[in-house]
Amino acid sequence: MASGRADSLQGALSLLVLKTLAFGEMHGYAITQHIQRASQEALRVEEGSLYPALHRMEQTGWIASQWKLTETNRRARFYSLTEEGRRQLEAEEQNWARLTTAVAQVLAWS
Amino acid sequence: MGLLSKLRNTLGGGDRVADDVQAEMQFHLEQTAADLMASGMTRTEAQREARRRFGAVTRLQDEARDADMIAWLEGWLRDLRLAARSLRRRPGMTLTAVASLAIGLGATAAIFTIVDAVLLKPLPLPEPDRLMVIREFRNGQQSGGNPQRLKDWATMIPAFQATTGFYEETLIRRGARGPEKVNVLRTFGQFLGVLGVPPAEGRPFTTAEEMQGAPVAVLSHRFWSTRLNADPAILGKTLALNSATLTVIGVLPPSVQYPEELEVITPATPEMQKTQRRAGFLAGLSRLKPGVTLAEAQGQVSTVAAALAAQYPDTDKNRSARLMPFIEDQVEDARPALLLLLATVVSVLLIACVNVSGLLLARGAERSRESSIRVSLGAGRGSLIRLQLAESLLLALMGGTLGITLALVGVDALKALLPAGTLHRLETAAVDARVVGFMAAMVVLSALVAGLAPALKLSRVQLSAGRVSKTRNSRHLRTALVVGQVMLSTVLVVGSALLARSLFEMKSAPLGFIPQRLTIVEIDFPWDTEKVRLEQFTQQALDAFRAIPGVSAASVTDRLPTQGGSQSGPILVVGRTLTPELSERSVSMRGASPEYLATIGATLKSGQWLTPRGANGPREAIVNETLARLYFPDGRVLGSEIAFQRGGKAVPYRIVGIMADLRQSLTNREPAPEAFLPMSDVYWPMLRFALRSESTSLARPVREAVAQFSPDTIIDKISTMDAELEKAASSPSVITYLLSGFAGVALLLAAIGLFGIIAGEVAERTKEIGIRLALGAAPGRVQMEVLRRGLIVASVGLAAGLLATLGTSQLLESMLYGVTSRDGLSLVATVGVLLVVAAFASWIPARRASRVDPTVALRSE
Repeated sequence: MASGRADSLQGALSLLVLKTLAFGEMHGYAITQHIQRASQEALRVEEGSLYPALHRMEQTGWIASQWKLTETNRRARFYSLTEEGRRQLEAEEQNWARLTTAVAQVLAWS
Repeated sequence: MGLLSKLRNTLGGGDRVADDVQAEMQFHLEQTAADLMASGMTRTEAQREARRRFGAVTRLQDEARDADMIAWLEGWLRDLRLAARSLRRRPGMTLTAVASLAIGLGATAAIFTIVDAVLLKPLPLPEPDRLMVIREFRNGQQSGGNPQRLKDWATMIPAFQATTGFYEETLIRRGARGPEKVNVLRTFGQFLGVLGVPPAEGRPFTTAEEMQGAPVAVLSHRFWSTRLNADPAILGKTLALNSATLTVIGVLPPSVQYPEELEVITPATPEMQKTQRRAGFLAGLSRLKPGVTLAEAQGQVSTVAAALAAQYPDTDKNRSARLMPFIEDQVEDARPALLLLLATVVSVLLIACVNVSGLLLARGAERSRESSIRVSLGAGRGSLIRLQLAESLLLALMGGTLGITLALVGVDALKALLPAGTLHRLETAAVDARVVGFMAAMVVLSALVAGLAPALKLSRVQLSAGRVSKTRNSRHLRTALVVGQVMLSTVLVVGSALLARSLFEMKSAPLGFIPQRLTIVEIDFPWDTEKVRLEQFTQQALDAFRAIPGVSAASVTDRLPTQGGSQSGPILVVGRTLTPELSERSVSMRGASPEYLATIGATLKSGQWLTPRGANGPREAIVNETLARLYFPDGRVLGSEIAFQRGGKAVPYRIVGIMADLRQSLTNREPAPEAFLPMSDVYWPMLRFALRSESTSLARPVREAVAQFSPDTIIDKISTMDAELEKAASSPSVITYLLSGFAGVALLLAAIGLFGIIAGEVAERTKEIGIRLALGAAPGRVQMEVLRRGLIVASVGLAAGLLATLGTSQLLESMLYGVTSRDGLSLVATVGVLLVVAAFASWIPARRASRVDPTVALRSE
């Protein structure tokens, strides 16, 4: 179904965030930095999308947050993966792989 | 946690949440600012920048951000980097796109360079807009100006600040290296005042010198530096030209080289200043007072012309004058051809852009996935379009850079190719800052044109985020683009077919003489050479030429065929009143030695050639068929008498022969009435010898022969008639070749475009075709189907193009010789060429379709 596919694609941001947090606890700013660097600057997460997404994911229960001090002794909200989030990451990773293979196959016919 | 926080929200802890969010955002901002400061920004800058980057929460903020210049540029830079990476991943597509754009932009730059130098750049004279050429007409035909009338204009027209008339003349200077020719400009009125340029050295003419025709001279910088070795003490020295001695009083700055051949300027002699009002031989030029418009000045000229006609009915009746901006007058002949070439290359560029557009669209599917990801990451529609445009901008930049390089080569080639002397200021053409600026604009424009369709497409994809398959939509768009390409190239192909036909007609239309193995020798004597001296020289030269081994005939005339008209005027038919139209019409009067017409191989239709005339023999003339037809509708030509106005009285000539028309000009088809008189009855010091011989390498023997009896005489030109014809045809030939070349490129690009969509469709339908083949469809049928689809697309474009030609070909009309802009053969040829090219472009994918392997095609199920 078309909407299912659209969901998978729009889920890309949550997939990226989940994957990023799999490396450990991080605050929002660090998440944007990581995605930007890991994608060689190709993907730039807009803050306007990131924070609403973080809050949505926290409410869904995939991630948890906690106010902590940074290395520079600043108060920041750190996010980490919950067990549910870890399962979600696995599922989404598989979904994504399926999708990209499908797209690649379609493209190979051009 | 989830439940708890939700509870807190609903229980009015909203402030708490808001505080939390506030703090988190604050932290994010500070981190960004800290990073920016680490990279060298001041605190305030960094904070502002961080706030800006935090950005796009609402549309309003988004727009505000885009208004910020630095941010905007930064966004572009980032997008360009991304675009570069994406292009590097597709070298094939990138190469095709860059090559297309380089050809389009390069051709445009090269032609623009020529157009700019010839048509657009301001002249190196102060306020050139105020310079006006005065064109005089008598009975609607252009005629020369007269010193007395020019004086009247100078005093009677308030709009004129300064007025001048001039004629050019070749004089002989006897220098240390023997005699040499000098181009002298004889002026009436304030020539330097009109140009508005004082001499760089010395002084301008005084009013008294100008009015009285004093023997003083101002030199062109070129003449002074090349012929006089830039003599620093030239002022006050004298220059001996023919019998006159001129005192040098000034040297012009190097920028002023008008007329192009100018070497010496001197006021016309006192006798010339008194020329009677009837004669017309001047080119008129005036400088308008500041702030006067062309229309105002023209109004005054017309009023004064009417007043003069009333005052001098004998000479000034039926005369009118028209002012024309100097620059326009200079480029009048070149303008249509140059603008045509410019329009052509811009069309080629447009076709190239559309091709790139097609290439970018072809990646639609892949792009739309990528875009969907970006959208889900919060990218706005604007940024998607910007990324797409960044990609086409990058392609256009590469194409432009390559194009400039092509243009550097192209401009030199064009300068070598275009016949010297036909384009004013052509030699100044060079790729300069103006051209680069123009190119920058064209690059941006091309990027927009090429990126527009894909960008629009992207923004539509975004609305249905993530739907991968939008190929059908993209196919319609691409088909429309290809139809447009075919249409444009049809227009260009029709244009070049018309020009080629016209060139063929021009070259194959009868000349009226036989140019092969005809050597021509041109010797110009000064206007004050005595008739006796001319005749003596002519007789000696003819005798000497006839003695050259291999020369079977030698003769002389005042103007060779295809070199334009010479002396002309209305004629009378003795014993009959002509219609008013004919009695005003000009007839060319040419002088020729008796054997001239036979020498050049002219065709005698009836009667006989001229015979040598004794001292008191009857005056005889030969007329051409056009004259016979126009003036003797009853056909009784031979034995009738025609009379020419000569110094106020009519001199009758008996017609002894009718000859086939000689072409007066290669590019003008209009037949002109023409009569040949004995050379002895004509005064014309520019002698044209025609020699019939076995060999055409007569330059040496001719020079030696002339040196034998007249060592001081300078031979202006020795050439063959064939070479002269070639030269006369070179301007239309070059334009035709260039236009055909560009039309060919356009056609090739359109064919690539057509091939692109048909191949794409075949690829899309591979599976379907595979199934049909597996079910037993004949490969030939599949092939035909694909071929037909290509031909249909091409035919739609072709039909649209032919419709468009109805309008555009009119513009060509003035450049065509012997064909109309609705020439059927050219249209049929165009249709044929386009269909063949279209068939070939679709045949390749058609063949591929018929060879689809069903098993491979079905495996993807």
